[in-house]
Amino acid sequence: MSTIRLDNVTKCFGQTKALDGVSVVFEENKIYGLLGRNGAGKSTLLNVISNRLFPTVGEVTIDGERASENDHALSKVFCMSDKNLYPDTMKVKEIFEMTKTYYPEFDMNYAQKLSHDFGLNINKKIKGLSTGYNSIYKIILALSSNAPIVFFDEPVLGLDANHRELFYKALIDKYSERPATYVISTHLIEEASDIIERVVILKEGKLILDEDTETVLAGGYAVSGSAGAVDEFCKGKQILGQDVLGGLKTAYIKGQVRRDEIPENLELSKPDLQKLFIQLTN
Amino acid sequence: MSTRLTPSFKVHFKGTAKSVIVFYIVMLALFVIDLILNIIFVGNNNSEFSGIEMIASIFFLVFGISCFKPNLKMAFANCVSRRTEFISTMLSAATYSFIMVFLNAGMVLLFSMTSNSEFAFNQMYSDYAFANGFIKFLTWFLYEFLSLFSSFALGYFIGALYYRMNKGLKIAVSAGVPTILLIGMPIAIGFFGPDSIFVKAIVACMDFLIKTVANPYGAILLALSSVAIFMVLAFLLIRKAPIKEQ
Repeated sequence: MSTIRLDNVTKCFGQTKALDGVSVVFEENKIYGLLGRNGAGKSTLLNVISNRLFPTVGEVTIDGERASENDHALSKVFCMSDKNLYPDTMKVKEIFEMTKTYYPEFDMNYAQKLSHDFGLNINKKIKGLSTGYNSIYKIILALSSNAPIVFFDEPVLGLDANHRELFYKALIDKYSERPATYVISTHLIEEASDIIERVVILKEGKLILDEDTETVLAGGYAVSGSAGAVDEFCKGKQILGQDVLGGLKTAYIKGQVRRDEIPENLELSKPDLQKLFIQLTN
Repeated sequence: MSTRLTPSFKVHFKGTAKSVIVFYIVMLALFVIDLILNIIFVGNNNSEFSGIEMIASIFFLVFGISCFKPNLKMAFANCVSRRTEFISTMLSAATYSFIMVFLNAGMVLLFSMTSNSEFAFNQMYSDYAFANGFIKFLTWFLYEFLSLFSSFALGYFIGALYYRMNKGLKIAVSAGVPTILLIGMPIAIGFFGPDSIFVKAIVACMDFLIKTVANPYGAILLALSSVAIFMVLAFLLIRKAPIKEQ
């Protein structure tokens, strides 16, 4: 069992509330998308869970154990940070070896295989890596750690399209082979939406959504057509947001609709996760 | 015992090895250069090469200062608690202090084969009468061990202090402490006069330290107190240390 529970967690930096009364449960063996705009509190949330920051108020528990300064609970967590926490002079292979010391389940062969697939030279020092490879070696660490709970904070930062695809594929393969709780904090929502099972959205430090991806997507629809027709159709409905391009308009509407309810001059479509996210966080 | 203590100790022990090895290689190289220069230019090898114990303590002080931040960041990277990070670092430093006592002794013995080299402990306490050889050995060991360990503890405390301070405070302390010691103190002494309580208190403190260190057991007690004080202070600083981006 690897369940993380946050009870009313608030984190303040001076007068700024980075997290404001967040209560959420990350269930075992699920892939979560932790979404939010810049400064919404995503990294702070991951840092609080992984004991890098102390909550000002509230508590984090892992499998019922208090996480704060608790090595037993924390040994179940691997948190890939977007920042580099290793000395610049260390070689990638030295970091692999060190991580193996902390995480006995760390799969060195798998780490070497992934390094080969990504084209990462493990004899290179951290300071010699490009931005993309700085993310790649941390992705490999996280996937190879075999920790029951793995956080990815901006994992695809600086990665090209090929490497991003390779990451998503490696993540799915790993999850199929050895399920774990994965929490992915990312801005590239549309790319990750296919693998995210549940969505957690933060806005200005507050939790505004915590639902299964399917439920979120089923909870809304989009209609597009001429602005007048769309406006007419939207009357009395709960509009999440709208895009206007010239005379054309797309409205994102909360709720469900049957196709036969849609006028012929309008087109019905499913809103993608990114669109819903934009509407929710704007 | 924490599940992460052994791995954390292993990582610190391995991480320290490189620096310690480099330090002793440099010391050996300096000794060889000194020896060669003496033979070439003076025509004999009657040089003076001692003080390795003091140099090793300074090395360990600097190592303590510089290891705090990278070690803490690696602990954060691997979700290790601050308490375990602190204990494992201190255990590793104590182990290296133990090893370095004998490495220093080995160096002194090596140097003494070709130059005038003497144990610092013997130089300081040549007039002191020890009950027997074993007591002298034990006192020497404790003195050397605690000198090294207290240097590390002081360095680690300074490292922790700087980590916790903000940028403004770092600048203020970095500039303020030397200014007070080098400029402020002489001015204050001149201002208050030699008969003032202020100057008498400073003299009394210095006198106390000199008298304490003059006795090997006093020096051991002083080093032990320093270890305890700096370890407690460093722990208080690390126990709530947050992650820093830079």
